[in-house]
Amino acid sequence: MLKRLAGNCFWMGRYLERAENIARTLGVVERLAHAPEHHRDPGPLWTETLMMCSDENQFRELGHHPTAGSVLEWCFLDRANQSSVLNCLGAARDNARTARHLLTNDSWEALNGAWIEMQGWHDRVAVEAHGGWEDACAWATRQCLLVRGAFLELPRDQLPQVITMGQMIERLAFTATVLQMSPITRSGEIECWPGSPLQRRTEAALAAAGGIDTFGRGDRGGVCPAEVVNFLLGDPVSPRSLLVCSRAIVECIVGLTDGESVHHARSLPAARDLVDRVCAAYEGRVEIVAAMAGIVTSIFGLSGIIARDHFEPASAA
Amino acid sequence: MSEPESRPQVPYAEDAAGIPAYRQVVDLLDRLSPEERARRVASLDRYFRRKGITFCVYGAEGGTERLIPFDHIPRVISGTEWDLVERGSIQRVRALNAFLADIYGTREILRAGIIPEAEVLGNELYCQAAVGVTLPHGVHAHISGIDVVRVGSTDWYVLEDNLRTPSGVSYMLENRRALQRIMPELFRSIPVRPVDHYPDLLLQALKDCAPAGADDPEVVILTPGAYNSAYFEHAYLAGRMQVKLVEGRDLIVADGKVWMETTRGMRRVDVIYRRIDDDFLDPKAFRRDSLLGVPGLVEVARRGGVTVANAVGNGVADDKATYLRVPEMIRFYLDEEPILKNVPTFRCSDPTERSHVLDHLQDLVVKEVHGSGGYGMLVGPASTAAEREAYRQRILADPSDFIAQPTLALSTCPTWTGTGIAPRHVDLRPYVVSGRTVGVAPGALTRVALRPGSLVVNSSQGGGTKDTWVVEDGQPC
Repeated sequence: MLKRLAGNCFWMGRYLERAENIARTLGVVERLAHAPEHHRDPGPLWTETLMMCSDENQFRELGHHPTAGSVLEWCFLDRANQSSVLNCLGAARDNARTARHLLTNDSWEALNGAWIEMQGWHDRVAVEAHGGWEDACAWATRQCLLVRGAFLELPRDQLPQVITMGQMIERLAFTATVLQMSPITRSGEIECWPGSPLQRRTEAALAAAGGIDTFGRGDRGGVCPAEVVNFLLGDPVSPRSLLVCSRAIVECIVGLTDGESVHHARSLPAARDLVDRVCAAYEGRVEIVAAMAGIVTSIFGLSGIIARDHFEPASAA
Repeated sequence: MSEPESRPQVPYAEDAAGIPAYRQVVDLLDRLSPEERARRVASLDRYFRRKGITFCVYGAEGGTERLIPFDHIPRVISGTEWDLVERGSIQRVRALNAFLADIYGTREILRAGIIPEAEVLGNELYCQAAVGVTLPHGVHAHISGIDVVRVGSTDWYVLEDNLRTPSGVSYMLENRRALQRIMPELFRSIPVRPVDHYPDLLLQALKDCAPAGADDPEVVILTPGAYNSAYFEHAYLAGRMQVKLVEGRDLIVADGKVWMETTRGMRRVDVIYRRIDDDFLDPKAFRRDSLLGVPGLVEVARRGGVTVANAVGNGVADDKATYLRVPEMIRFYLDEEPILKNVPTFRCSDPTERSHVLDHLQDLVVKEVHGSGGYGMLVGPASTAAEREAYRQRILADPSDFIAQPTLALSTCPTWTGTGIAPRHVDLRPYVVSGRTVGVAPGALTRVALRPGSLVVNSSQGGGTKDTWVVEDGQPC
């Protein structure tokens, strides 16, 4: 496929994944905020959410103060926030439009339809009319899932590979960020009491990373920090684990170039290096929080290398 | 003031006269309750929006993507009438392609004195880059849009020929799908000739015109990009024809060929269906500041390394001054009499005709010779004295830039106004595809002037579209 369109589809995948991750996280935090430990001072919880989902500096520079309402609106609807769910869907849609002829009608209409509906959501009044923030976030998450489902019907050529690459890059970055920032990673607890604040935070981290249903289906025992961290790091069957995501990127690069090394001279070694870093964290060879910070930096570096190897015109070199 | 709800009567527009299928259409629509009709019309809007069937209007308020208004009452044309339009359009395009090949070749028609040399060679759209180039099958205009109107009940006239980058065919195709979706009962009882195979016709014609030696030609559509007003159509046709949609920056010229940069290396391009105007096509040949084109493309095309469709230099054949000469071209190249008539046209370049035009501005439609899209015209009967005076000055300043035509009693078609059905003026644009053979899909784009009494059908100026049905003669009422 054309390099330019491959790049656009890569970014479509990234923006769609980002929209889904943020929408899901906002819904999770909105529920978590009802817990008694956050009633007196919900600020830290929303500040942490802000840092996970957005650019905190930009938020504050615009004069906002982190509260439930301000963070929800900023991360979900605000057009000044490049990474708001609304803007991410819009960016995904813009990229999809350039490759409209490559997508199936269903996948285009699913994405376009979601975007059209969100255009009518200007402020929290519209969200309230939709049933409130939790419902709105669930709706947005569901729309992204539907679009991803429609992508399964794309012909098995390079197109789904570039989309998947974008999704995996974004998913890796987000899950690593959750692990980096969540207090569960530092707790090291291998047990926690049912109904305790720690258990609630553990479930929330798992839910925000999109792994709560998959975790529950495995024979893993209860939701405790150490289990969840291990699950998100290296569970071999969870589509959300860092290990599965990083390996998927390697497969996509190989598939994209049909194995010809001239086309992936830099991206394949960089992707394999990322797999090694994840393995090192999973096997306990490195401290997790620091490892996650390094992995996030590596991921964005890898994204740039992939763009140069596969999407930028050789004639521009 | 809105028009009163009316019980539709057929024929209540000249277009409907004598076509039994109209009665069926109106009867079926009449059986819908106002609520059901409103529900279906609203679902049309959703259909077009969800599919992204929009066009971009530069500088318009309310965002850049807009829906083209679509009227759910189809325009119905009898098989006999359509056959006339089809034969006439094909005839016209054959003559125009012969003209283009001739004037960029041996110039027989000029030598024979049929058309003054200065009129062609002095035309600012005559393109030196096209001189001396022999194209596959002699085709310069692979895709032509011939705008025709019916006047009265039987006479068809050509309003203009579009041989550069005629657009609108995607709306022809999607209008049919949309109407089938929301008014399926109409199609169960009235056999309408299908149009869905147009992309196949087009792809075959483009492949037919590939350079010699291209065994399995790679065809691409060259678009200015996602912000172009007609981008939906570019993407739509690329999807339907299963060809790549490229921008200028995706292509490079090397070794006498054109190549596109793919994720698996360079791939040769054989045929470029370009939707970029000549001026922006190649910064080495035309406008140096163009960022949309492909440097060196025109030279590769001249040497036969790639086919550009439509070819460069077609503008000389579709401007309004050359339009006057088309009947003579038909006689000269085809030795036939024109099937479709030209609208009587006055050339302001001719002193006598210019004098007539200036004395009758209030009765005429005056157009810029190189204009398009309905812009820059003066519709005499709808103009003010001040507007006519301003236009007079423009004509006097550069007479050769203008032609004038009498206002035609364009046929009208039953059209939904929102509160009832009323007649609205329409035109018709069949799309003629030329490759090894010349063909037309049995349908066309009907454009409708939505404002009462308006003659302007262009979408950029408030016009809409209709599905166009060609039905067999003798269909039962």
